[in-house]
Amino acid sequence: MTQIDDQNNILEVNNLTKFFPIKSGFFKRVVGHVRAVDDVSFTLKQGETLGLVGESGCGKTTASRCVLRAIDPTSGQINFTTSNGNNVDMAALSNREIRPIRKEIQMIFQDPFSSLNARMTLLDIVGEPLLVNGMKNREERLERVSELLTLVGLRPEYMQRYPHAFSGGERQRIGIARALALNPRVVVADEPVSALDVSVQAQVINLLMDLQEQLKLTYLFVAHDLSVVKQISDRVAVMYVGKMVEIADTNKLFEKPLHPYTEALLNAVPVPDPRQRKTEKKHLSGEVANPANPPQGCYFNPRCPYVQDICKTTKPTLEEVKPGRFVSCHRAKELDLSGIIK
Amino acid sequence: MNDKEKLLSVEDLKIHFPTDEGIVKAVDGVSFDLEAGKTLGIVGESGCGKSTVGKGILNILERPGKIAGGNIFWNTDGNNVDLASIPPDSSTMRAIRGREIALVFQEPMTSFSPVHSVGNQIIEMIMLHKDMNKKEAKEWAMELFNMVGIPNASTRIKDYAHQFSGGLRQRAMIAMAISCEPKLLIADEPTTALDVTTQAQILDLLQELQEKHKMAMILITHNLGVVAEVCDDVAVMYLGRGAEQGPVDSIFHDSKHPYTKGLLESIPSINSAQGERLKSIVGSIPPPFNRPKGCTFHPRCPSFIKDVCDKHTPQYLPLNDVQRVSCFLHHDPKKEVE
Repeated sequence: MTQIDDQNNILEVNNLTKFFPIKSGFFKRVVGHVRAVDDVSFTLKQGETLGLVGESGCGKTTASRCVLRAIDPTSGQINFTTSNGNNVDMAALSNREIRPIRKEIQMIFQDPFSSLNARMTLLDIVGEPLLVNGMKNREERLERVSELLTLVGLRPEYMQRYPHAFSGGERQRIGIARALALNPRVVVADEPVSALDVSVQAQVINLLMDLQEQLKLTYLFVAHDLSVVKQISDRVAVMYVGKMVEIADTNKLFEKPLHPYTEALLNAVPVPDPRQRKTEKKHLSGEVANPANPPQGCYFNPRCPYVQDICKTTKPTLEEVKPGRFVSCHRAKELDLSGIIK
Repeated sequence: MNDKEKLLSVEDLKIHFPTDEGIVKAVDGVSFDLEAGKTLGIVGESGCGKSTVGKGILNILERPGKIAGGNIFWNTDGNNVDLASIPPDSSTMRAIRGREIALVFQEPMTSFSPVHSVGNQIIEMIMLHKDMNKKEAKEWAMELFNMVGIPNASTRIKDYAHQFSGGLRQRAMIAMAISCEPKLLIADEPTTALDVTTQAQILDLLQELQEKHKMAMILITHNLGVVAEVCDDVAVMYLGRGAEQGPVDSIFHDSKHPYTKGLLESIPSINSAQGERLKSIVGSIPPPFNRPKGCTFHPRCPSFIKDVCDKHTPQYLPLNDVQRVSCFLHHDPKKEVE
């Protein structure tokens, strides 16, 4: 039986790995692997929001989908505490065994335009998870859907309409209502606001925060926009080329990052205030490493301004340097890096 | 500002798209000026017509779009041309397009031809506009590659667009745009498709090139952070109209239009407390065929004045020497109605 050490943790991901094979030639032989998620570990505490950030191709989406078992991981453990108190390793379950657990972990998608079926009404879209999970009575379903729509700030009278009648922000609310239909305990939100306009984005972020308080939800919030992550997350996990490089409390991470990549990422964010224009610019050079052919040693070493010989030969491991602060860098203890808030 | 300093001056520009369902007024009265060597940011949300303004200046609008009114004065070497009044395929327009005014598109993947090498596409443009033979053009293209920071120029010049990463492709796009040393560079969401670390590199590059070549730049974006970082002046657009414009500091610290204020408040700040609720603008952007009467922002406006904002359209009038705003809070409605 699997074991979750800390009682506060609802989810523990240990050494999660997902390699996608690269096939080539007539016989589709496997010639290599894209190391999308490479030995990643993190935990989700009951009721918190963990922000998962990184640049495109860093594996944040793959990692979050493995948590849902939307993608089967190559190896690793995903320990989850179910609502009746059992600990299960989701990575080891068969598709049939995982079914009852699925309703406890739900997902909100990035693109509100392609994630809703244009030929289904709101009632069908939001009601579908209810139907699949045994709510056969139409009246009952109608009631629950109208309750859900009210919860996310849409008028229940709209439930006979089709998605095209709604704006981007409203569509995202529909997606949220669908995710909440089965009373999940964990919600994985993959870039839920990045397709929205600024003025609408704020409404959806506020809604997500309100719902979390009301329904005691736990969020895994995947995003690339650091200011959004800062607003909503209790803790932040930073990924780079399939590896977890740093995990820390949000404020501590923004005040004083411990990994050079986190520092570079924070300092690259443009500040919406002309009076705070950066006089001295230290921007990363080079490009993100190829996950099919990562560099020797630390994956960040070709771009790292603090690189030393050890970084080019030995892979660092994710270590807890202070309570609750995990970092994967050989020089984490000696470097004095600068954050962006005081 | 006296007229001689203006490189570009757009006056009451209107760009309409007649369709079967009615006329979409993508741009419906926009005015701004740009001095040589300065950077103007045009900001707004999707559907506000900011990209259409950029294309309208070069007169490369997609069908059935056309300039329905207004002037675009392009002022170089004492010559004053109204770009809005000359046909899009005239030789004057073709001589200006690409040579004097260049455009960097949002999606570097779709704006290069996939079947010609990137180098050949740049060489073609150089030979079209400059008096150079193929050998000279190739040398100049390699120099441009070095200038924009593409490594191994001599081999990279033979590569196709799909062999470049997103950041490099955008650099190649910029190399192409500056190949004829334009006086004005219009960058339409140049960094939107890129990661933050790459975005920072590209913005640095644009600023560096601008300084070196004394180019003016129009930066079209929805990202207020980018605007704050690089622009001298800012024009805010809402539903095809200018809402407010002024120097970057006054837009961010002394904004006059309720829409600008709302927009600034709804971006999450790095300094706000975790879990704090954001102030947001109520409602959402109305569809293009169903624009509100009067001030188009009035259904979402917190300072809405009944019987004024919903009945009359505010004009885009100067507030002082540098600021311009279209709002009844700052202009006397009675005067305008007359």
